[in-house]
Formats: sequence, C-alpha cells, structure tokens
Amino acid sequence: MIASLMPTLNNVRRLALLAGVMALPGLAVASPSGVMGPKDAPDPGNQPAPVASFISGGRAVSLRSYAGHPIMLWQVATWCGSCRAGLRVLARNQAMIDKTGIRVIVLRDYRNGGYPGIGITKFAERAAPGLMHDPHFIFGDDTRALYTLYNPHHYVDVYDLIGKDRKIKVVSSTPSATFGRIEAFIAAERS
Amino acid sequence: MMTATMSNIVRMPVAIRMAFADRRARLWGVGTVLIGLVFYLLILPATDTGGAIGLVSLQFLTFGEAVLAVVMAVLLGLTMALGIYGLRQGGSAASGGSVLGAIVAVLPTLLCCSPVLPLAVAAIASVLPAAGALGLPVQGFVATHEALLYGTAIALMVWGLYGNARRALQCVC
Repeated sequence: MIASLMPTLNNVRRLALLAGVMALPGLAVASPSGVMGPKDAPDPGNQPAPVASFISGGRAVSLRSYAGHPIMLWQVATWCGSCRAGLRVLARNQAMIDKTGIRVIVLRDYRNGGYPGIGITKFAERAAPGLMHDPHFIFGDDTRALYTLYNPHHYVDVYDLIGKDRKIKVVSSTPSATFGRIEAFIAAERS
Repeated sequence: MMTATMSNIVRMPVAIRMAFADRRARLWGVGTVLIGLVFYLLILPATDTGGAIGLVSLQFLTFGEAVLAVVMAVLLGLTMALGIYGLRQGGSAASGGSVLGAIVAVLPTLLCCSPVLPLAVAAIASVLPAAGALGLPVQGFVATHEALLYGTAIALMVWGLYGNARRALQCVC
C-alpha cells in the first residue's frame, strides 16, 4: 500500500517544487530589498556632509570646491547594470538638471566595488556620452576615505543628496528607480 | 543510446501535441506560459533597477529581454503541460532541469546590484567573518556574465523539457 503511494508522493513533491519555482519571481518581489535596502535608507536627519576628496582628471578634488551648490554624490561600480541605467536616466533629464545649480558627482567605487571593470570615463562615454562635457556632471574615482565615509556598507549603486547648506538630505540608491527623489530634492533646493 | 536520444528529440513535437490534446495539461501549460511571461517580463529588466520589480522595471525592458522572457515562459509552459500529461497517464514528472533553469534565470536579477546578496553574505559573515569579502565579487561576476547565466538557464529548461517529453512518449508506448 505504502509502496504504491510512493510514485504519487514523488510526483506531488516534484509538482510542489515546480510550483515553488514559479513562485520564485513572486518571492523576489517580496524580497527585503525595498525595506532593508539602501533605497529606503533611514533619513540622514540633516547630518553635516563630511568633507572628503575624490580624484578627477588626475587630481584630488575636495567636496568643498562645490560650496554653494547642491550636490548629488553618486558612487557606482562600472560593471553594474543599474548604474548604467541610472546614468541614462540622468542623461534623459539633462535639460532639467542643467537649469539648476546642482552638481552631479559620479564616482567609480573604490576598487570598483571589489570587481574589475572599465574606468569611469569609458563608463560615461558608453552609457551617456552627452554628459561628458556638461559642467553639471563631474566624473571621477573614489578615494578610500570618501568611500568609507559615504558608503560604509559598500553598496555598488548608492548616492547622497547634499543641500546647499552642506547637510545630507537623502541617502538612497539606484537613480534609475528613484529619480523621483532626486527630482524632489532639486525642486526643494531651488525654492 | 545516441540513436534513441535523437529519435526522442525528433519526436518531441509529437509529445507536445499529445500533451496539448489533453484539456487539463493544456490549461496548466497555457496558464504557466502566461504567468511565467508576466513574471519574466517584470523581473528580467530589474537588473537595471537594482532589483526593484514592477512598472518601474518594465520601463527598462529591452527587446532582447522580451525575447528571453517569451522563450523561458514557453519552455516552462511546455514542460508543465508535458509533466501534467505524464502524471495523468500514470507516469512520473521530472522537472529537475526546468527547476534549475528557472532558478538560474532569476539569479542576475536577485544577485546583481540588489541588496539581496549583500544581506545574505552579511548573515553568513556574522558566523564566518571571512565570507564577508565574497559578496561584491559575486555580484560583479553575476552582472558581467548575465548572458552565460541566461544561456545556462535556457539549456537547463530545454533539458527538463526533453526529460518530460521522453516520459510522455513512454507513457504512450
């Protein structure tokens, strides 16, 4: 009796497994990325933006150089698909960004986030060549100090929005999915 | 052995026709294709949104991803229809290949750029500190080898489809 039930039980188990796989995308939807991920990072509570430097055009540039401008400080890995998509989204909104005083600083993560990849210039040329000569966009490389200060959890696609008052207003990630927050920040800094 | 395999491959369309002649197998097959297609269309472009899935990811859907979604959904649907048909004929369903394929297919979305992998690695690293350094290189590997992963996923699904087609043909014999 039990032996005759075994094939049926095996089939049920296999079907359950297949059903589980079909539900896998659903699990992905319900994954903790929206709650615990950097997209919904806690409000930085207007904490002062630490002073740090990055490398651009072969020289060290301090964040102080952009005093009086709101800043989007965005750290990317050049192998990251969402970073590429994010840069394209910024390029699509270039006209709107250019009308404001914001400076978008795009930095290649320190050691490219732990995996080799192209340099930041080639990354920008491939994803959004129109931004290369736009003075609102600055491309460069993280220093270890800046990476440690602004990306302690070593996310590959994370940004800080820093107000004219040098205070961090928003910490988030993936501009391709969160451009609305950047837009709101730009609007708030204009008013 | 080789001849038998070739014969089974040639007769796969026959097995699929037989399965789709069965009403219940057809319903399961078509249902799986439709559900799978919606999920894959939403999930595949999520590599561009850091794992955010829904209308936001749909905006980044490329032609290539749409083709991939159709291929994978159809393969899953056919395997499901053949599996149900086999079960109804008293045989057994073998979905190992499709199961593995479906899992591999969602890896790039789950692992590249979204915090799922860092969180998992952080949990492991709390027990084994040396594992903490693995997360980002794995993310980097997944992000730069998407084509290989999707190819592997499709190959595994085809393998699962072949297994179920063979069993469906055996049921008839």
